[in-house]
Amino acid sequence: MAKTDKEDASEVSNQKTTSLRRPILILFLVASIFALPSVVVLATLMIPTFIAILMDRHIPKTLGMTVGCMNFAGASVGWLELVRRGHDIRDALNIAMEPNSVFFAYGFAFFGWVLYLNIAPFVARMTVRKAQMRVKRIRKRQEKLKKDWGTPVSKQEVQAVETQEEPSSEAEEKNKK
Amino acid sequence: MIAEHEEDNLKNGATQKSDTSSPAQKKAQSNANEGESKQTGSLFKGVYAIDFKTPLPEFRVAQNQVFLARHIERKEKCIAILALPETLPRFGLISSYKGLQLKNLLNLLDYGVLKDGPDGREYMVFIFEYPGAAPVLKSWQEVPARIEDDALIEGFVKPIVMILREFHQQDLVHGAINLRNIYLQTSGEGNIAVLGECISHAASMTQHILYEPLERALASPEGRGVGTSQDDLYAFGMCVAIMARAENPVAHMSENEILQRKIETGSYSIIIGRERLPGGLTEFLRGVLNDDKTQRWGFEDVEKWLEGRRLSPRQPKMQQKAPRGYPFQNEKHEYLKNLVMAFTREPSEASAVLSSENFLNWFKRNVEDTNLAANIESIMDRNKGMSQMDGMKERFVAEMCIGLDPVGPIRYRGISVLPRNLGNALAHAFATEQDVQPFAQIINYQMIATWLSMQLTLPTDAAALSSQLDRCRQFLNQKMPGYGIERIVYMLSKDAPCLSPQFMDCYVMNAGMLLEALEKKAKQNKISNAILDRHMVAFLSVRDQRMIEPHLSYVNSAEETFQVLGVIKTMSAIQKSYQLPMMPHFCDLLINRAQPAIDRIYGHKLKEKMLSAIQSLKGKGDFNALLGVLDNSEVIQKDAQMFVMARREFHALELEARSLEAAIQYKKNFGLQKGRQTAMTISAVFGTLLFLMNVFMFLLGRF
Repeated sequence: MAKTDKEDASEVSNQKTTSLRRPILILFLVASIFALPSVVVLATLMIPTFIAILMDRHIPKTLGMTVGCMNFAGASVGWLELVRRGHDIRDALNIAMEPNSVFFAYGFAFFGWVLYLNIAPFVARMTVRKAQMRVKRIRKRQEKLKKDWGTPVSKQEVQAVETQEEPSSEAEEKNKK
Repeated sequence: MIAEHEEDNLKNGATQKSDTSSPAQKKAQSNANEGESKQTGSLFKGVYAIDFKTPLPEFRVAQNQVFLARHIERKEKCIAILALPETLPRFGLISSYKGLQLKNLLNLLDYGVLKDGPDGREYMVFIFEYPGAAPVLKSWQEVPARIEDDALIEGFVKPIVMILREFHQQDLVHGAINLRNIYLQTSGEGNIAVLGECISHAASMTQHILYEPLERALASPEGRGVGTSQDDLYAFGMCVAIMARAENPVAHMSENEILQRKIETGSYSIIIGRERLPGGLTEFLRGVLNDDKTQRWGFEDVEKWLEGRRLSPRQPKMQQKAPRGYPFQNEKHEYLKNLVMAFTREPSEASAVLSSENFLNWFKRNVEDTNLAANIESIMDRNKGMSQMDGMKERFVAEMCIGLDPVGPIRYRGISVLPRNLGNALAHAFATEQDVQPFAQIINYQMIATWLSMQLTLPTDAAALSSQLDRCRQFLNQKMPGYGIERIVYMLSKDAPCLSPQFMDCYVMNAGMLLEALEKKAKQNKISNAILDRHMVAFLSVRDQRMIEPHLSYVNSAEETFQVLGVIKTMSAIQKSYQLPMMPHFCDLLINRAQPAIDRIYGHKLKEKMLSAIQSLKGKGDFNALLGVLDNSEVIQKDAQMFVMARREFHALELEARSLEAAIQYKKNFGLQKGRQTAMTISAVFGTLLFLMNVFMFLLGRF
């Protein structure tokens, strides 16, 4: 049974995810050893991004990236505070618990959600309208072609060619013979 | 050169009225065209005034009308012979005849087509000098006045023989020598005999049966055709015999009686009987009136006789008389030729008789001719079992008659025709609206080949005749216009004008005249739907092949588009070749019928442009210009190419539109993916900007 396009796309995406998972995990483990406070802060503040990644059922998966970009911009406030305080694990736990940091990170993540939920349908509506306009223009052009060339312009090629055939002199030659 | 001059003459004749006619003449012509009023006169080529009020019945031969005419400058009297198509004037002879210019021959002054005849129709007119004397006889039943023997020889025999010698030297045959066509002036000093014309009608068509040798007399007048100089001498011999006797013993006999008497007693006896004639005349008459063709005098014999040498012509071999007559139609026939004549009159009865044992036994016992016996044996073998089939009886009788009388004509279904003159007989049948089917059957049944195979001595032209008829048979069985029986008539009769039913009141001798006749018909609104009918196409195909042959496939096309184009192409070629003036009426008619030719164009704008272009040609009569608009191959090719491109564009657009419509209709998430990607991009941009702003503030120590 032939695979559908959707199935193909999901397979490709899964392969990509699988191939990226290992380096990310290694990076996370290395980062956990050398920058544990940053990992604690970011892991806590970027929970909405992880949720978005898990929730996204569409291909390609864009929700995680949309929410993640904004979420990271918000989380960067807490992370920079951690850096300013000396990148200590205790400060990291404090910052992760601070309502201010959480508000910024989660607020920006929420804004990411808002972008995702509003811009996508808006752009979709615009795309449909554009397609409809294109169909309208095509029909108009076809009408003009019909007006200029008559209905045979819409017929199949073979039929149109038949009417152009000139009388052959074969019968005549036969007669002469 | 002569032929060119003749062609010019015909062209000039055809267009004479447009150049020379006075306003009164033009009015007369328009009346003639309407065919409503009778003309009182006509001016031919602006030189000869023909007076329709003064007919000259004494000069009339066949159906042709004869009127008094006058040269308008010299005021000389002339005679104008108005020839109808069915009389088939001898165009091939005209230039030679005109060139003769002999004192004792009725000289031709001019000829051509007269557009406004007395009844409004066109005639072929021949202007001859006025003979200055009356014909010897005004009717066949008349008896000529007696003239002295010396005067007869010096003033009648010698001048006419001199003319016939001229004819003979130029390989011409007069074919109309009889006492109604010889003009004799007996008053004054000596006789002046003038031989009448022979070109306003087909050879022998006007001859009385008495003036034709037996084998030709058996054929119908239109079926005899051109004979030989011996036949001319035979006819002249009859004239001399009647003049010498000043009596015509057969004047009141019917044609059948004359034929029977010729068969039974011979030509010399029928006209001379036991009369004693002066001097050497008996010798001359026995020579030229000999019924045996091989013994009949030719010109060499006549010249010797004129020089005074004594020749003793052999007594003609009499027709063989059967010891016992054969009973047929309540009459006992003792002569085979008489019996054959009776058979041809009643073919259905003759069929049964000819295939009966009774007849064959009679033939074996009474006719001692092994050649004829072989002939009928061959025909009986060929027709075994078919002779009594319906539809084959007449063929069987015709073939048997050929076998029994091989020198006679082919006699089939009321037609009696000599093989070499099938064309003229067919043309006459068409012109007089008779049934032409028997002619087609004569060709299809190969009766001419049968006739040739039955001849005791094969004619010198047998091979040519046979191959010509074979070609005719091939054409005959083709149904396309330009072929069939219509083509045969023009192939076999060189003098036949176009015999289209549309041209009943026209005289069309060449392609130029055909176009002029169509213009006339268009003016009268009398053009049929087909425009060029079978006769016209066949006429052009034979007479002026290069005018129609390249366009024949168009003319014969089943599609109206190409038919119209074919006609326009043909007319354009004719107009150009004959340098004819503009033909506005016929051209307008073609413009009105040119819609199919415009409909083949795809581009509507081009169509409109072409339509307005041809509308602007209305009233101009220029076929070439019309063709330039309708058949511009460059424009048509470009239109076709543009159309192909437009069609491709249409289909590409259709595919695109259908795919967009399907996407809009059936994909719920159409555009959403793009929307999500857009949202992601915006988010990435904003996120990066905010992150950079935070980093910047951090670096500035604002945290």
